[in-house]
Amino acid sequence: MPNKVLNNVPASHVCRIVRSPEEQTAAAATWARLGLAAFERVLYVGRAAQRDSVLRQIDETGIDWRPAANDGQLLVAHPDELHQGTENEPNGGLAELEVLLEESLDQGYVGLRLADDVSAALSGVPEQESLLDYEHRLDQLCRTNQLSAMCFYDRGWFGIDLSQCAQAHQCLAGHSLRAQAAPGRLAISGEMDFSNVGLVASTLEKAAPPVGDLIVDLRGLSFIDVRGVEELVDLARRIAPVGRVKVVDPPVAMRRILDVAGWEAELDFVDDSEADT
Amino acid sequence: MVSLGAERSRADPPGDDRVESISQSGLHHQATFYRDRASFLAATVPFLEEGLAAGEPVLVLVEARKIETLRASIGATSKRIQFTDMSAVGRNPARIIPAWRQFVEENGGGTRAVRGVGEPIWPGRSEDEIAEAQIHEELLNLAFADVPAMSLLCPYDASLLSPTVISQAKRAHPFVADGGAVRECNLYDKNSGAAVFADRALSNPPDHALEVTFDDYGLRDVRDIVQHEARIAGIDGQRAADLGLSVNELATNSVEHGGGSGILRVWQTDDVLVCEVGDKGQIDDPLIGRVAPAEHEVGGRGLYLANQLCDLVQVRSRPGRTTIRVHMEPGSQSSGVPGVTGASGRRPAP
Repeated sequence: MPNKVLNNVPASHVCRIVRSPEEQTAAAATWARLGLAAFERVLYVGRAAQRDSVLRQIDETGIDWRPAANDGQLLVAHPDELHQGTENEPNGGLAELEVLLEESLDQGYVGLRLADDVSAALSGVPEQESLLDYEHRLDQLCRTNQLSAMCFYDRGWFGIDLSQCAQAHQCLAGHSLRAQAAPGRLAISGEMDFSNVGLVASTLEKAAPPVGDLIVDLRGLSFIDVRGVEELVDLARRIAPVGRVKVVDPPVAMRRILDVAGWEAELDFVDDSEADT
Repeated sequence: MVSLGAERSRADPPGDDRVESISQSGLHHQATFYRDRASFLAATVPFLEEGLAAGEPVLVLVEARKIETLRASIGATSKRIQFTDMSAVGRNPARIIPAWRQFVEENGGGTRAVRGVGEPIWPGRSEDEIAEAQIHEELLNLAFADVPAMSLLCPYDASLLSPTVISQAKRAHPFVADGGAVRECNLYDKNSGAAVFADRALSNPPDHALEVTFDDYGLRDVRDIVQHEARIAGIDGQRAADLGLSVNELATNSVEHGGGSGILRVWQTDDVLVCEVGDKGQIDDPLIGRVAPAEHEVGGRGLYLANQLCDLVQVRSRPGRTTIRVHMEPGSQSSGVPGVTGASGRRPAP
């Protein structure tokens, strides 16, 4: 039962931000194992050393990957094969992926599952634009086909806006946090916790208006933790000289945190009608 | 900051004298052992009246029935005493130190002498609750070591509590009050508080406990599992949410400070639902979770929140291993959230 809960990833194009090779190995092994069990074809794209540890990790869970590798259910590829663009397709080999997907379905697999070590693919300084373009097109492919993909990003990268990368996915490793800023207005939905609070920081930064109040619409937010509330309180303190943060429909947890921490006075609460005007 | 501290210590009297005077005038933490209503009143009423006569702010944390007894016995001047029901504030004993802190803050912040009566252990408390209340008693000595003048009297029911509870009380109190006379307690162990989290063993989780590992991307699953189990255990919506939030914060601490991951275990006993979070970190500060969030270092806020929202919190830590259990009782209404039970002391008992 615990496994069922933990492995229930609801979206098919998932961004997974990792801090270490070990973390990536563990997540990739789980992702691949689920695909094998579900009679999907699994394609692991990553460096050789990393690939071997992923296979070892699958072994350790008591599942023998060798028959799957012999049958061609489990495929491995070097990142360059998928990501290195050609003249015809400068942003990576999505055409090849489409071909493989079609083949897999023809051969009776229920789908194709991709574990994609994006950080291994981009040696040197990656270009944000081409990366985002690749992710957007992969996202489209995942939405319209029997294709699921987990893309691994290294948290230590410089020069890459991980928040933007994450937003090119349907979810962040099972989390569906979204933050949208418009003048005088910020809407946050999903669940906000330690794993993703950093990803909306830049949106919160942009949301602070030069003058006037800021409506923070939390109608779509079902959970927020202490760190998330701290971010909002910080935002309120930043704009305090020119206006107030007006919160619409905070989740239960937020009321509790404000209450216990004694932060209630930092924010105003308004109802839906006021928020919509 | 460092230079400021150095300035201050140069301006102060020589260090040794100062330490000496603080240890004498600081927290005067005394236990008293009563056997019946009469000896309870004989131990507490003169102590309280002495404080009132000296114009000291006085807070009494005892069960509601004892509050009525004390009010009736002291009469009109009891209006100047702040009474709070210990069975609410002290349901989780880790909430008691924050309550005393707040009392001190609201009454001169340590600039004037204050006085209190607190009974954290009463007959009928569960073994786990008593263990935590004992830890609380030891931590009081650390928490208020720097308060200039605070007299705290802790009554124990010697006729109904077990002899081991009584002897443990003597180890935690530097003084014993007996019929008006106060003497130093020769069983007092002045080193006890610092190591409480390492010393006391917890029972093993039962074999049937649900067990899952998590990392930062498993926090949502941790919340889902806890809320699901809470519903099965018959814990209502608000408190299930409180439990989910509390365990989320403990698991977040594991991810952030406890080696990046942890193990969640959940099980039900006859009385409570227990959620345990274990990781490879170590907690150095025994007062963690007992200081108000604004003053907290990272990691302390989550534990403070859990202490305020859950019925009981058990912290154990030694090098390479931290285990924190939170208990929630189905049907229980208690919560330490200020304004909910009067933990702030602003809502006196009727």
